[in-house]
Amino acid sequence: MKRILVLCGLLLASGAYADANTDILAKIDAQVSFMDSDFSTEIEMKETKPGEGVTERTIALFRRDSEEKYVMLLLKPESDKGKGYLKIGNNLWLYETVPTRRFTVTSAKDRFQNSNARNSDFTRSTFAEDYKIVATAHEKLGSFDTTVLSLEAIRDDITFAKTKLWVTADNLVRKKEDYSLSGQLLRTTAMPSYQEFKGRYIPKKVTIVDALLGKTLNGVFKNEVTEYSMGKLSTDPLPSIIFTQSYLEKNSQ
Amino acid sequence: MIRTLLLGLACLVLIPGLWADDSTDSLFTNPEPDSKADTTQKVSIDPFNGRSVTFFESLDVDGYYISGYRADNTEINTPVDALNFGFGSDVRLDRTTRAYASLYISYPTQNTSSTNLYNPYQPSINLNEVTSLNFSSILVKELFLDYSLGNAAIFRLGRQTATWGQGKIFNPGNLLDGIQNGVAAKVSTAVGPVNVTLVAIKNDSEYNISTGESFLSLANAMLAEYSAGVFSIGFSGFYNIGVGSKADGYIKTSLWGTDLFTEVLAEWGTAMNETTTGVAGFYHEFGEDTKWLKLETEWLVSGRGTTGTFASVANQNLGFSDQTLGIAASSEALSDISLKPSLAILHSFVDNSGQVILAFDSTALPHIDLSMALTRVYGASGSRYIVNNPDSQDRVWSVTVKASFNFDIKSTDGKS
Repeated sequence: MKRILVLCGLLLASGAYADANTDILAKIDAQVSFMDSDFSTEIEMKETKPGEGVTERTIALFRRDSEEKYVMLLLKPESDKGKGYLKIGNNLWLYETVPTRRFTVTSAKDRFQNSNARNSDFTRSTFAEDYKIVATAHEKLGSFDTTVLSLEAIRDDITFAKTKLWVTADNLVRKKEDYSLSGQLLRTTAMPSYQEFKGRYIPKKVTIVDALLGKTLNGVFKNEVTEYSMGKLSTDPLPSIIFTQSYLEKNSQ
Repeated sequence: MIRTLLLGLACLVLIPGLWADDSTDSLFTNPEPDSKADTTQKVSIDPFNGRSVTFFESLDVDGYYISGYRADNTEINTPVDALNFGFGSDVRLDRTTRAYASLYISYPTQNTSSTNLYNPYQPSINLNEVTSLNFSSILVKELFLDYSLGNAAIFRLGRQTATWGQGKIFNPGNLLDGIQNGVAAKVSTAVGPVNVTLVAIKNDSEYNISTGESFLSLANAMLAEYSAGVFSIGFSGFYNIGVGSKADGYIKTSLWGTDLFTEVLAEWGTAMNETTTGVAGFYHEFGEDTKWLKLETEWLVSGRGTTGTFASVANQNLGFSDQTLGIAASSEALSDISLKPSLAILHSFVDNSGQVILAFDSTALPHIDLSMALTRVYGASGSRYIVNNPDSQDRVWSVTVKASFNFDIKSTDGKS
């Protein structure tokens, strides 16, 4: 009887631990998602490829998190102007303008315009739905006291099989490391500062260091780095027509 | 000796990693404090809403050589060349109105048609084989007017392109076959979470109207799409008095990292014989950062075709006996050297005919695309893929070597 009680106690405790885990991740998601309104922003992106120079892009991002939709429209450079992405639920289309104007199905896992960002970086945050916590620790990250959460994906279609978050007491992710299933570090993302906006938090600047891509210059391996910042923030309602292929067709160049 | 060699190799692999400058730690030593966002500006939903005029030009030069054998072992070698000069303009008056024209001049002018290799239901592709120096007159690729009715609807009127349907290999759900060579009016809107598109297509040749009553060649189509959770669903319909009616429905989802879809098309009426066509498929990418295999597999069960051809108008219902398997695979494993291998297999179970194409495509040189393809078309005489051999010379074994050069340039308000 005692054994059964102990077993029940352990099961209840593990359930409570799992709930607590989900709760932490849900709080992290809630800080950066807009489930009760639309969200729009302009992203200034700078991609540095060692030995190849710097590429700068400006992107308009329109999100309707409650319906799992987003549209990204490239505003600069001139050669990419009018390209775009449309995500509706699980469908993600890339609208290309050169050599012909056409929609192709693409993956959230794919690199955004061959940069170090992934298409999934621009959706709402879904750590609670996609990952489980397998380990926690406390660590000093520069001037921040952080909890380090080691996560494993609970489904195969998640962009990164394993990820590690450095989270401050205000439930903001300051640093993130993404790993392959085999444990290979793929990239490191730093978000040291946030801007508070309508009760949510948007990183002032995101720096993504690709662990695999880069070039050896003067004997030193230099990683590819993509940095972006988000400005012109708004939660004004967006017309539904934005989340259609016709909107991208209309804005094609 | 072996140890030394292994040590050397380990150093070569590890040392660049040790020296790697991949740390973000310095960003956290003295970070800018969190603060309130600047909310004085917001991004425009009409970023290209000003008056602008863009002119563009393109030049595509293709040269390829096809060498192979017919079924009777006759050797046929064919050099092929094609040259297209494209030009056009994109004029925006304000946020509501835009006029777009894309025109081209082609050399040579005479084409021979061939069944589209990957989608027998689509309009045929052209293989240019005449080498006389004789340019065509100006051809219209696209010519349309866009009009936005506030934020409620977007209209497009004129010659345009559009594709419906979910299949990447077999696409019976594309109800807009006739839009390619016709004139169409399209309106898109969103009704709550449902995206709705209505299309009216005028195409005298596609809908086989020769009576002079041109309204008979007007076809109407409608598509409604909706996403709920992990599922996306869509329904579409088509009607033309000469062709008949079509109704199509699809459902898509993603499970275990694999995209899955199934789609059913029903056709009935004047030229149809109450046929039903179904296609189901999956798409999966293998590999984490580098996709070493991208695999699309589709299964077509069609009552639409006849025994010997993929005719676009059905006259015989084959029911579930007409089944075709399509596999398309490609790899990014050789992307470091800008080489993309791909393999396509189509097999019809109704008469055991099919096609296998192994191709390599190189984009290592700027503006130049080099490719090579090995093609095998198999089946008994009169079988589907033998009758619809995409090669106009009916080779059943062939090697194609192709080089393409292209460039595009555009200038907006005088700025390139």
